[in-house]
Parts: sequence; C-alpha cells; structure tokens
Amino acid sequence: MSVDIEEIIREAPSGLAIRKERDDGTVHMTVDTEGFADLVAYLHARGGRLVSLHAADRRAADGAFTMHALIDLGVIVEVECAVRPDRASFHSLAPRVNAANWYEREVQDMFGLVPDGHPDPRPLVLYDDWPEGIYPLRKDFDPSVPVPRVPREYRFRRVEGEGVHEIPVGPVHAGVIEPGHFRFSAAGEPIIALEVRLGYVHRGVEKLSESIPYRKGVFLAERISGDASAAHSTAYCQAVERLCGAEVPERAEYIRTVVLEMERLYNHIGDIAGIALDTAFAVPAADGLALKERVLELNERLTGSRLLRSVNDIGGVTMDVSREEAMKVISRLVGLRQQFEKLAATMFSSTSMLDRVEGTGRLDREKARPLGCVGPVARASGIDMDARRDHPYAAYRNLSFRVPVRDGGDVDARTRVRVDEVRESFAIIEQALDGMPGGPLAAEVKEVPAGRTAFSLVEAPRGEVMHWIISGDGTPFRHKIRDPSFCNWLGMEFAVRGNIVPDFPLINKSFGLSYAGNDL
Amino acid sequence: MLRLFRRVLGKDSRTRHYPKEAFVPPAKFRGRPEALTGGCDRCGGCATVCPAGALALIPEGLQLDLSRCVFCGECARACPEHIVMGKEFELAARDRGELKVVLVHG
Ligand code: SF4
Ligand code: SF4
Repeated sequence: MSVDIEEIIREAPSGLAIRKERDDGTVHMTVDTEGFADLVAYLHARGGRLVSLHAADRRAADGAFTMHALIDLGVIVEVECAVRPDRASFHSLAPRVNAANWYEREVQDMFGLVPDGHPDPRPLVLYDDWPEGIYPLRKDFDPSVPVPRVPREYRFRRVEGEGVHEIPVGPVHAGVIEPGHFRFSAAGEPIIALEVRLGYVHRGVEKLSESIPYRKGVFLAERISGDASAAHSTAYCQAVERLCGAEVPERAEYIRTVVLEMERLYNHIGDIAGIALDTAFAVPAADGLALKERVLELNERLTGSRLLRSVNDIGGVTMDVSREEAMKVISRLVGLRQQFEKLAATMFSSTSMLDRVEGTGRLDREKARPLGCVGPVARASGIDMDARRDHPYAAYRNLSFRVPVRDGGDVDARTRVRVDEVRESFAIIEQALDGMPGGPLAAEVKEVPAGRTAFSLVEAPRGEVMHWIISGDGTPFRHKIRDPSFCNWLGMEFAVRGNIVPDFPLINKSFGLSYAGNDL
Repeated sequence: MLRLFRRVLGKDSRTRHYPKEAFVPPAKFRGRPEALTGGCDRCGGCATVCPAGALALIPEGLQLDLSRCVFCGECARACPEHIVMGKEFELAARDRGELKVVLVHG
C-alpha cells in the first residue's frame, strides 16, 4: 500500500489532535470527544480500515473513560479520546463507518457509553435477561457478585408485507455446533433479510483476563476460540512481549510460524470438507475429514496437542522441534499434499457441486469493505489483505508466499481461496522447517511495566485477530480481543439475501465463523 | 463394479478399533500429571503456576483435580524433579469426587 501517511495526517480535520510516534512504528493521536468521530471517519474515508473500536475505564486514574480506534493505513494509526463519565456518550461513527456498528453496540453494553446517533442502538453481546445499568467492563463491576436477572425481550428487526414470514433457527442447532440464533424473514424460499443474534457463549473473557497474570493469560488466550488457539495465543504473547520489550529469539519465531500454519491447515481442510458435506457430496467430505484427522495427528506428534496448545510462552515457545521431527513432518507433508490435490480435483470437477456453490451467498467488494470484513471472506470478495504480509510478525518476513485473492464473493470463491491458502501453508511450513535457525527457544522476560499500551495482529485461519492491552499491576488493566468472526458476521447477513433458505447452511459454512470468538 | 469396489477400499481411513486396538500416544503427548518418586519439598510452586487451579497441597500429598486440569504441562515444567506429564488419558469417572486424585510422592 503506497499511501502517504504524513500527507493524510497533515490534511486531517482536527487540528487539535496531539500526535505521538510509538516505537513499535504505529502512530498515536489524541483528540477531544467532539473531534473523535470526525477524525476516525476521515481516516477511514482516506482508505483506512477500522481494525478495532473499543473503550477502557480509566476513571480511577484520569477521571474519564477512553475510546480507542485502530485504523489500518498500511501503518496502524490509533486515535484516542476521553469520554467524561457525567456525559457517558460519544458521537456515533456507525452512520459514516459501517464497520463501527457492532463495536459501538458492544461498547454501549460493556461500558454504558452511549453512541449518540447510532442507527441501531439495541443491546448486542449481553444476555437478554441482563439488567439495565450494569456494565461488566467498568472497573466498579465485581464479577464475583451474581447479577440479578430480569426477563426482557430482544426486539428483532421486522420485515413486513404480504406473504412475509419469519423463520427462527437456533440457538441450539442440529449438528450441535456452537449456539447462535438466526432470524430469517422470507417470502417463500428466498431470504429477504437475516438477523444474527449471538452472545450465548459470552464468558466474560476480557474481564477475566484483567485478573490473570500474563503467563497464565496465554492459556486463557488459547481458549478464546478453540480452533484458533495458536493464533490467539501468539497475538496475546506478542502484545505482552511489546509491553515488556522482550526480543523473541528467531528459532521461536519459526516454531510459532510452523504451528500457526498447521492451525490454518486443519481449519481450512475441515472447512473445505464441510462444503462437500453441505452439498451432500459424501466421498470428498469423508476424504477431507480423514485428511484433517491426519493433520491433527501430526499436530499431536509435533506439540503433544491436537489443537496445538501449550506451545506459546511469553518471550518465545515452550517446546522445540528437533531436526528429526522436522524431517518427519516434511516427509509427511508430501503425502498430505498429494491427497489434498486429489480432494480439490474431485470437488471442483463435479458439476453438481459447482452448481450449488457458484453464485451462492455473494458478498461483493462494495459491501465487504465498508463492513470491515477480514480473512478468506474478504479475500474472496476481492480485498487484498493479509496480516502475515501487511504487518509481518513471527518468521513471515523471511518466507515467501502468495496471498490468494478472488473476486467472485460467493461460496465458490471462498472455498477456492481456502484451497489456495492450504497450498501456501504447505509451502510455508516446509520453508520454515527447512530454514529454522538455531538458538534459544525463549527470551528472558522482564516484569511488564504498568500503564503501557501495546497491540498485535495475527492472521488466524478465519482472518485477522487483534489483541490490545493496557498493562496493569501484574495483569492486564484492559485487554481488548477482536476475533475475525466479529468482523465477518454482518457480511453474512448481507450475503444470504436473495438466496433460498436451504442454501443458508452452505453459506454459513463458507463463512466458517466462530461463535465463541465473537462472543468472548 | 469391481473397480468401484477397489476404489472404495483404497480410500483413506483414520478409524481405529479402540478400545480393542489400543491408542498409543506419541512421545510429546500430555496426559494425566504423575508424581515422580523422591520426596517433594511441598513448596507449592506447582500449585502457584497451575493456570486452572487444579493443584492443592493437602496433608496426604498433592491433590490434583482432574475436573479442572487442562493438561497444559505447566506443573511439570515448573518442577521436573517431582512431576511428569504421564500418558494416561482414560480419565472418565462416574462421580465428580473421583476426579480428585492425590499424587503421593514416595
Ligand atoms: S511437586 Fe514440586 S513444585 Fe509441587 S510442591 Fe512438590 S516440590 Fe513444590
Ligand atoms: S497440567 Fe496444567 S492444569 Fe493440569 S495440574 Fe498441571 S499445571 Fe495444572
């Protein structure tokens, strides 16, 4: 991306913004509450992507809440403003920056700060029977005291007209997947609108993290979204490493990379098999799942855990990959690759499968971009982004790989992007195992000083994961986690419109979203 | 017909006839934490590092709550002389109480 960040900032509307360079290469700007929305909207209009929008309760130290917006302009710009507790509101960005929609509703639920002028200020993440006026992420909320429940009803969006009917699906689903409610408004088979209602697996991860020492936080991060344990724990470790200035040894960076790509492999292969399954194409579905199982078995040999847990540590990794292990994995990958190519060939030569996936669940670029979609979903809608290349971490800057982009925006494109990414992952793992430098596995880690802020981005199988931490006394003071699913659910609401109800499971599968990661 | 049959037979399969055919965990597998022999100095270090709060010092030894343990291996990393991650994975119980086991150091 060749944007001139200097020029953009010079032309910014808020002359009052105080600007600071951070040593991690990001730009930090502070504005007043009034100017916040204008500045963020301006940076967005200049091509910036909203990475996250969240709040922190700093009333004890500074007498105010703070709002933070992270915008990706090639360089990450963080805009911050204070919100006075007696006002407890801010100008809503959502009318101008659609991607801010859910973030602002989340801030309202968790902090009780009202987004003034938000087009849809209903609750988002809290349970339906959560009492009004109790805000879990405020510092005066004590998580050990049970909260009384008040029966309340969530008001779904209504589509009215002759022949329009509603179909409620979930939160418990036939396949015993994660819980989420889908409310369809349909006229006959075609879907007019879908509203996704989540929050059923909201566990208060961000609040919990505020009481967990950094080292133990790694295990919490591994459990934010079970099949993205490597991505979340890497993002968490990297953020903490930035807070305390730890230099991760190169060997650890390579091991992290291998593990992150193994995670992508089993997730993508499982998702591809899922597409075969949902199009009733049983043979490749079974083959794909057997192949996924082979990757999980390889994970277990390599790390002792099928889901790649306990590898990450603050400052590095906990376990080594020996030369023999590396050679064994490389030779295994040869066979897995062949099997995978066969699988892909079987799937994409079947006209009956192609008939189901082509043109189904289309999300075009013009929708995906303002919604802030990320990951394979964004890349299948023509958005060329990948944190591994755009904001390199671990060993990615030393490895060569392609970022596949397609512009179909349909189930077909999303599946093919994953197929291409699997191919790249095979190559990345080989390169990383082959070129793994010697040296220690972890750096000496100093105590994390309080009052600092750091964030980190990691490209998980589903897309960009962000962890953002203000350090406190031995634990995070505030820990914002943003899973890629949070950015992509709204994309799906748009993608299903005009499709028939029976295609919904297939479209949902092609988005491959996490409920737990979204709910936190 | 025969060709179809062959193709089906040639398909990959990852199904094991467990429990008839035993599952042999790989070397790095982390099953139930086990006590190594040799007196433990009861310093409580393992309980402090345990992220799940699964360990507690009790008069009989070290109590491990398998309903909490996440098999992360932190205890064995903190105290390799006295704790090792074993290979036992058949840990189901009929009663919650049975999940509390005592690791006795010889
Ligand atoms: S097992 Fe090790 S860490 Fe735990 S109490 Fe005994 S000596 Fe201390
Ligand atoms: S393996 Fe982990 S969770 Fe289990 S007792 Fe040891 S430290 Fe605790």
